[in-house]
Amino acid sequence: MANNVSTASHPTAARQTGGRIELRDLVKEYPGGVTAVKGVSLDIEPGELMVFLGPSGCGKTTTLRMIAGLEDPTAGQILLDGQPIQHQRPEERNVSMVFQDLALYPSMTVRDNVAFPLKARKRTPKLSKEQIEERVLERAQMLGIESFLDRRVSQLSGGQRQRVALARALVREPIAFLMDEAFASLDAVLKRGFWTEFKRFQRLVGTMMIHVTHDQEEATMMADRIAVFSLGEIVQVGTPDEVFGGPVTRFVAEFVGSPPMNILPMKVIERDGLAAEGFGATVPLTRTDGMSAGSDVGLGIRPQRARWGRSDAPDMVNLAARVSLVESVGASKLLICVLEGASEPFEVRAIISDDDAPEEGAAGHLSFRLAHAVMVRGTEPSAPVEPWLAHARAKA
Amino acid sequence: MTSAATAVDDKPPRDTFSPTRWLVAAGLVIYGIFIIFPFYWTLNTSLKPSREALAQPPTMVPRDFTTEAYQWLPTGDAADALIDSLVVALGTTILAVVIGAMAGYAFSRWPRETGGEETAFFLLSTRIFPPVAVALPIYFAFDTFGLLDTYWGLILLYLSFGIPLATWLMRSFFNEVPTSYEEAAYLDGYGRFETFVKVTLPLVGPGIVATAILTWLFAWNEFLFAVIIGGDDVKTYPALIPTLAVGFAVDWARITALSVAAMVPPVLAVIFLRNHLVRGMSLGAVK
Repeated sequence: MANNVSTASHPTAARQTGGRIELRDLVKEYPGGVTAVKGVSLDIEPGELMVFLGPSGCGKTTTLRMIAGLEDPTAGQILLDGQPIQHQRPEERNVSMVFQDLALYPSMTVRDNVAFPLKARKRTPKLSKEQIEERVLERAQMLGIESFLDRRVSQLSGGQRQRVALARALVREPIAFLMDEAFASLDAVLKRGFWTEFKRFQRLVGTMMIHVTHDQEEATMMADRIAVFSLGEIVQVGTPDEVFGGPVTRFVAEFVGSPPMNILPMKVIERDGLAAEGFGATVPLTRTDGMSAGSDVGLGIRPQRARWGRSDAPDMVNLAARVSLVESVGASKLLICVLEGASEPFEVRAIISDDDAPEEGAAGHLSFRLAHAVMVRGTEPSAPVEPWLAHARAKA
Repeated sequence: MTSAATAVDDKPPRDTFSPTRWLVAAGLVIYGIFIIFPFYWTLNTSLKPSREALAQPPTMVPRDFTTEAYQWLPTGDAADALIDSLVVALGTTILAVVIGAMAGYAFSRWPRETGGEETAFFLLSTRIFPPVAVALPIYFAFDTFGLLDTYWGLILLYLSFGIPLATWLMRSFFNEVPTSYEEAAYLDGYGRFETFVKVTLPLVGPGIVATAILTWLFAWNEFLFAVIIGGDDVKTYPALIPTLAVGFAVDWARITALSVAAMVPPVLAVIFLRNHLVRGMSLGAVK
């Protein structure tokens, strides 16, 4: 995708100084007993690109709508630069929102759509026609849409409409930019192009953005920080590296990362101290608190960290496996292997390069470095996760 | 039926007519005649002297062509009747659409508080009642309130059907507008009412047209209450027609001329608003 966003420095693109948003114990309960948000607290820095990530129904969109003012919190506070705003109406909050269906007015031209936010009667300060024209043109140039300002929205392609929606959201210079699964309607190629463009664009403009998505790849690529939501609560907040490499619960470990992390069920035994045994391998435990012989423990290893072929190096773990399926993923191969040495067949996924890939049906070993593994203490989604090696830095 | 799913070679070339096609064409022609004939005959009769209307055998084209009935139209009774009809229909339509749009919007956006689809339908269902059953009570009630033979009386009565109808229709049109359009406007600083007028209404434009036309047609053609509630001051055209048929002296020419004139506003409306009407009908599928 050609560089459609002008990265030339722009007179109004100053890094934001104000606009810190704090969420304090937000709760949203609906009549009928459904609690969508169960106590969410989060600080969002000015100028940051924060992503709310989670599966459907986890409360991320409801939280976003409370920040926008489209829903009233049942309890809790939303602070803007220290001032509570949770009871302010949406029109008073100076935030912009892009919705999943873009909400562009179909019969109006692009120009009219982008200018629309500037023409509200209650607006202060009121802008003159020339000022509106100027602003619209500026934003249009920033997003590369000035060549079709006079076309009807219904005549544009998906990608063009996306940029019009962004221009419209930006035309008011809001203090925060909220996006509700705004890229969901684009096809895969277009979407990826937008992630990069958009990140560059956000850096340029400097406005804080909160983006809601269920696509963990989108979140990892775009975010400065990710807040992972599950069942109405935030389970982890951190940079994409922190969330991918150091998930704190089983849910996060399984949700972030594609294909999902393999978690092998093992049993703790006594052998020169405590070790985990399963699938023909014995792996020493360096974290022994709460563990005793007979406990269950999960060994987590990401598909990207597994290799085909046995290795006898000291910190490598080997698992006897048979390849059941090989799929092409670009220049890599996805192996779906079945581990031997268990009462029931257990499937493990590995992503390896073309050159080392075995044939379907081949029997051999999968190996990985223990430094890349995590310990999963339980089978519930809330089960805590730590790096396997007590001294290791998070690196899953 | 041979013309439908057959191999390419078996199909007759486009310009020859298979027996099936002749049959279908004939059926369509007969149907077409059924539809067109009443209009044609009305027009035909309006251009003859009333005596000729009863001629045996009937004349397909006026033997004694005359525009006498049309010359009568702009005078006195007929003109007054058409004006009365216009006032009542216009008044009913405008009020029904304005009130119905706001009510329909409320039912659409706040289903829990308003009772939603069920309540809206209940309001409408009270109108399925045969009007004749309430004709007498209405007459006495209107008499008590001095509403007989007044524009307002008739309009209010027509609204008792028009508003539920408009509410029901507009509700389903508003349901088709995603709330995100309105929410985007709120965030931009537009108040509730301003958003309703500048954002939501334009998006249901075809729906408004369809609702207005349906309401208009109802008010324009209504006969029973026009006669019962109306009197000398307010006499819509359906109420005038019976007066043109006194005893055996039925003035066919004038009746048909009046009918032709009465057809003009609805026909014009549909011609000019045709595109909006079609969009309105297909957009707001009433479930």
